[in-house]
Amino acid sequence: MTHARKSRGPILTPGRIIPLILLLIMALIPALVTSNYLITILVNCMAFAIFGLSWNIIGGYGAQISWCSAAFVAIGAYVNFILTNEAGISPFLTLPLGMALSYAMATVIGYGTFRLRGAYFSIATIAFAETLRAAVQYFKPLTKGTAGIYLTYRGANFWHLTFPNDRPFYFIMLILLVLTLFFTYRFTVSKTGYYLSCIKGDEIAAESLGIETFKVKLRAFQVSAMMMSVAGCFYASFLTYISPASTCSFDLSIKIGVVAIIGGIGTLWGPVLGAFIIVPLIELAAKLLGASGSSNVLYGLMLVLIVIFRPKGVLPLLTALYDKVFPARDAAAKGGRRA
Amino acid sequence: MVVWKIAQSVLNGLLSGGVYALIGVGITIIFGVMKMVNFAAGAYLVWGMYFTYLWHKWTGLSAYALIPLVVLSMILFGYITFKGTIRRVIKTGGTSFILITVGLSFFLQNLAETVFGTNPLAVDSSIKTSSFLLGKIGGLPVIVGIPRLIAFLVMLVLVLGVNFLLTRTMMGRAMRATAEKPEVATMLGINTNKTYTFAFVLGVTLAALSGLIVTPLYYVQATVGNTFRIAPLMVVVLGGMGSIKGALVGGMLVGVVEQLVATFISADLGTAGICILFLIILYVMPYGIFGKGERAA
Amino acid sequence: MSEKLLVVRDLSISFAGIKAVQHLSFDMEPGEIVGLIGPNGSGKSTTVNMISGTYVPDAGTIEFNGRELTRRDSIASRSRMGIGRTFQTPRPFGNLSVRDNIYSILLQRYGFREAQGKADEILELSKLMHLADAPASKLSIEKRKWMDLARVLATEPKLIMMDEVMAGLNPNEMLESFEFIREINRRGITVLFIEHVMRAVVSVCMRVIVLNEGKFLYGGAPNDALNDPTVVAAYIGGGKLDA
Repeated sequence: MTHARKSRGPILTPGRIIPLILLLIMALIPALVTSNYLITILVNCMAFAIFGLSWNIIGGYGAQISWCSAAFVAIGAYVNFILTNEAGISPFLTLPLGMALSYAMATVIGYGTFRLRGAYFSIATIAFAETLRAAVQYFKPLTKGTAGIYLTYRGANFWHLTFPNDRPFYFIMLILLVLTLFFTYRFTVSKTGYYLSCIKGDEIAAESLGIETFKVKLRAFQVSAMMMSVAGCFYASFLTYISPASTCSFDLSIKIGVVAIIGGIGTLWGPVLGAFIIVPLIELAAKLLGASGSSNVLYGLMLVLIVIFRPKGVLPLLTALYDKVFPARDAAAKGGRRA
Repeated sequence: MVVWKIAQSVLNGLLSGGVYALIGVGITIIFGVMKMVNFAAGAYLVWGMYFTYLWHKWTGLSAYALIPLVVLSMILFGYITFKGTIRRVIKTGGTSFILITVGLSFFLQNLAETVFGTNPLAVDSSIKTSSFLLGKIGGLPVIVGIPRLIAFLVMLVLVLGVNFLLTRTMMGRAMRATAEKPEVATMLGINTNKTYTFAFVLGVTLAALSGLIVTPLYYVQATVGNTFRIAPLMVVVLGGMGSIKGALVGGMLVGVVEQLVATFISADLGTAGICILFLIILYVMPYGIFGKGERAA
Repeated sequence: MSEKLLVVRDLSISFAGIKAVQHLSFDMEPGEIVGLIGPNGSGKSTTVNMISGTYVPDAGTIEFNGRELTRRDSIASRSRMGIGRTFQTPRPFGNLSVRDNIYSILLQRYGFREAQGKADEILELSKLMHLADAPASKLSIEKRKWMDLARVLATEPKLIMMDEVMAGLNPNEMLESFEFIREINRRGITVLFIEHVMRAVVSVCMRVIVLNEGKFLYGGAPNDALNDPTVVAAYIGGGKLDA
């Protein structure tokens, strides 16, 4: 979607109305639904949608596959809990600290790997995630090690993000999701966003045309990391209990990647779609098949199948349907970059 | 006392590093020929262990005697998994390979857990606890564990065998030609698909054999994959992607570092120690010890 | 001396023991269209790669606009200095539209609105306006080459090194390309033209530099070069010569 290029048409196109309707439906659900279980699932869906969107910034738009999403989530989560429990500081205030740490970590990894071609980046993210997990386990006085941290509940307090039930988190996550979608969109039409898509298109050509590929990729990774830690902070408050196993695990990083890839790698709505498909699916699988091992098998299998059969994810099926129902008014609306 | 600790750690590390080296060589071969990193090596190791366990239960033979059977099983297993998945995306490019091998790794490891359960199993070995005395430092014994030593020796034999294969046989030459210049290789009549298949199956069989040789040292369970999923990747990068010599040296280095960290700092920080080493080396020598640098400005 | 746009002195590079370019020296003045020709493997692309920054020479100097280029000058920074190049096989950003291919590059110098305007200009000049919103991956080879050129124009270069632009084009497309290149040159851009298609060289270039086996062989007017016995011998001994 290039700037100022669309022919003047109606302001409320179907492409804009549908998301608004969805938003409205989502906003009304808590009022209509009494099951807390459903609310919890939807919060998880939204959380993973946000994680997926964050991953997409570097993984989808940048084509640099990162496997350390969980590490940034963990940074946001642990900074939140440690400072809230020990010092009573509101998560809203500690957010910048988590973001700064994630920014720093992303810079370290980026400096080491973005000058190199190939899988170095992916391998380095795995190494980093493992290092962080070990660090969290090791510095027991601070992080309580493998036992994890429980958020101390001192009564309902918005500022501390402690609530008696999940419903307030529903709205918090919904707002966060809308903000993330908006921010992701702005990113894709920013200069960095355009340069990133050039690099994804052909890195060598991009370089020869003046784009500093290293800087651009680094910036995308830093942005992705910070987004991930923000989401991690709020998600942790929702979970009220975090541990290295639940937040720093390779499993989580894979899940986040799968959400974005299954939905539609490199698209705006892909991760959202992916999250809303995968989270309930895994929940269902866990109910039917039991142990977590089997639901992990599903993640791996889905990733493999999608890469083979539908590398662009599920979203293109929906956009094809959309195009059938609402054929483009003029040729100029088609083509160009798809969000 | 400290000297003794260092000596014992280094010795243990060199020997256990042999296992990492073996997996690393497997990944290196695949990378050399297909220019892609196989993230699923650890998962194949796990299946190697389980195959060893199964054959052990059915035949009662010791792990080392089962090598031929396990090799055959793995060739079949590797071939099927490769043909069913990776073969289909070879042409599509780098990120597909990363995604699919990571997916495969996750799938295979958790599949093993689902099929075989989470209980640790054991492959009995009469030599499990045997060791001999190498010497003494400051009155303290420096011990060589026999299983570790055998693992190391088996690894050497296998690597020499692989080296022979690559340099003396037609397939080996085909693999090296495909590795250097795939387009030229095709023109010379080499079937690149067959070459890729061979390289992959060889690579994962080596990983599976690594699993076999550590059965006296570890319980057979899927989570072993977690231990061996990260270190081999570090080995390959440290040694320089695509260099077998590098994988060997890298493997020993990784093994030694891991043991030193485990001994002097904390037992479960071993892997983290390797990762930190890796990140440092990435800054200092990005192309590894034997890697070939790029001719870029 | 400070008038010259590009000064190459004693440039040498070897790959795995093979001397790809040896002691090459030549100059280019602003506004020229200079052909760089020679049989296959004579070092033409390698020379371009050294100027663009892709390869680091083993010896020799490259001066652009009076300033010596060092290994610290990255490919991207050389592009920003005004050194542009195209590739033998076009490299479109297949995931973007033709317009966005050009627009993205303009964003390096202009704000969003201005860049849109400039993109329109370049699309007009390169006769790609009717394809502006088509995905770049769907272009024919001729259009891809033109888009490559259009994209380089977006970097507002002082020098464009064109690497075998004519390969794969039919005679009509070639004629149009000659005109496009002349138009680019009329706008003040110096052109270094690597080519095998001699018709193109004769038609477009003001003078040629002939390389053989990495060394400078002959310099002069295109027709003189093609008739020179040493040049002819080099081609017959080595690569192709299609007139």
